Amino acid sequence: MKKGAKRMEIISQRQLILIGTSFVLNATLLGPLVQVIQKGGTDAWMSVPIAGLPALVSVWMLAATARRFPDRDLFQALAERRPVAGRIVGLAFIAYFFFLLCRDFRMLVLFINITLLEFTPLFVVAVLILVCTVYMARGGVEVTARVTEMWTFLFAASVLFIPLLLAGDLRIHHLFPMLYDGFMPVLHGSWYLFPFVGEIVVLPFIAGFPTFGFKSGTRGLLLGIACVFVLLACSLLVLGANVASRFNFPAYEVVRLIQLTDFLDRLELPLVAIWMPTMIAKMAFGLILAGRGLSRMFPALSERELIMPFGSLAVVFSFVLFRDLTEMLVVNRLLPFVGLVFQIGLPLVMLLALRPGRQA
Amino acid sequence: MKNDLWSGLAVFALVFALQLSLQRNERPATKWLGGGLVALSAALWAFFSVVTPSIRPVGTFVTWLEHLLPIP
Repeated sequence: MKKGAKRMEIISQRQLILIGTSFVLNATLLGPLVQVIQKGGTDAWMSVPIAGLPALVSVWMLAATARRFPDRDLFQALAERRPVAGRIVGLAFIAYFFFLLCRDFRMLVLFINITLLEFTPLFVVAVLILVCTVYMARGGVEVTARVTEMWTFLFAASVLFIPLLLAGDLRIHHLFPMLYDGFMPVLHGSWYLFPFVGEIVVLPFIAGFPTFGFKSGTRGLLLGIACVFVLLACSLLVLGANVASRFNFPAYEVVRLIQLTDFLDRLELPLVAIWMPTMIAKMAFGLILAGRGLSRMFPALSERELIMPFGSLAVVFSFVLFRDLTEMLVVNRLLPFVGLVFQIGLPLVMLLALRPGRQA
Repeated sequence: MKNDLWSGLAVFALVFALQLSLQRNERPATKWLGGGLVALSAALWAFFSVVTPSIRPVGTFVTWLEHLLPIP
């Protein structure tokens, strides 16, 4: 290889599946669960598979588009096929991913502030997370994918194991009466959940066909949905809809109830320690995508060297856009509309417009 | 945010210095864009810390949107 030549970063299908799982699972845990339980009540668990259906359609549309451009990510495909319109759509996706990054950043800072470090200034927490995220993102896609592969696997395995640890506290009567208010509350809960589950649209921008395909996208989506389902169902079965809807982070509260033995009565701490790297890796992908997207749209720009500036901008926007937890919940009401555009609308446009042989 | 004005500006100054020192000269466009983004971060941080610490852009936008669209 020539000195200075760019080496193409390669990630495996298993890594991509776990990246998809990480995107579906991580934001959902801190974001909309409480609103889904508030709307869906005892039937909130039904909202999870329904919220997965639009995401499945998105994955299918994106996989069909990516198949036409082997070994290229969607940023490259957009810039090559439609130099003007493609770049506009690409920039819109960069803005969307950056918005998600700011939201995740703020959500993580808030979570740490509320549950772990109550007296540490928010800005100190934010800077510490920024340093970790930028350092990981500067390592590139391969390094971040390896981190995700290791920690998301551990986290997903731990989550799927939680019902066994809580077996003694599960109360099946918390799920009854079923569909007492009809099916509308369930759909209302799905409406809040689907933009979070639909974040799996990020995959074709990280890796092109054949690493990303319908099969790998669906596997990542299903594993993520299964984990969300387990945590939501456990929250309902252990706490009941009335109590769970009053917590900021019901999944965290339910994990806090696990007491294995006398010496391991705070299992939530090791679980948070496993979850935290997956969340930081997810944010690192957000930074990578912002830098990579711009460098694909405008080849004069360097992907790696834009990561730190985007990181500092993300910190500022996370504090400016989301002042507190209440504002995060307000934003969750807006996100379904944003999701409709970026998870259904634009993938459909790309499927129709990026046809083989119709060069602009 | 108001209490963190100077610590924030110090962090962004450090990021700016790091960005310039790590920057290779082969891509001048990145230098300008990267430095500009960090400068924008510092300016926004100072603006929202001092001038309008209580502004809620997203909350205001959603409230405005509620008058136009039936948000469930």
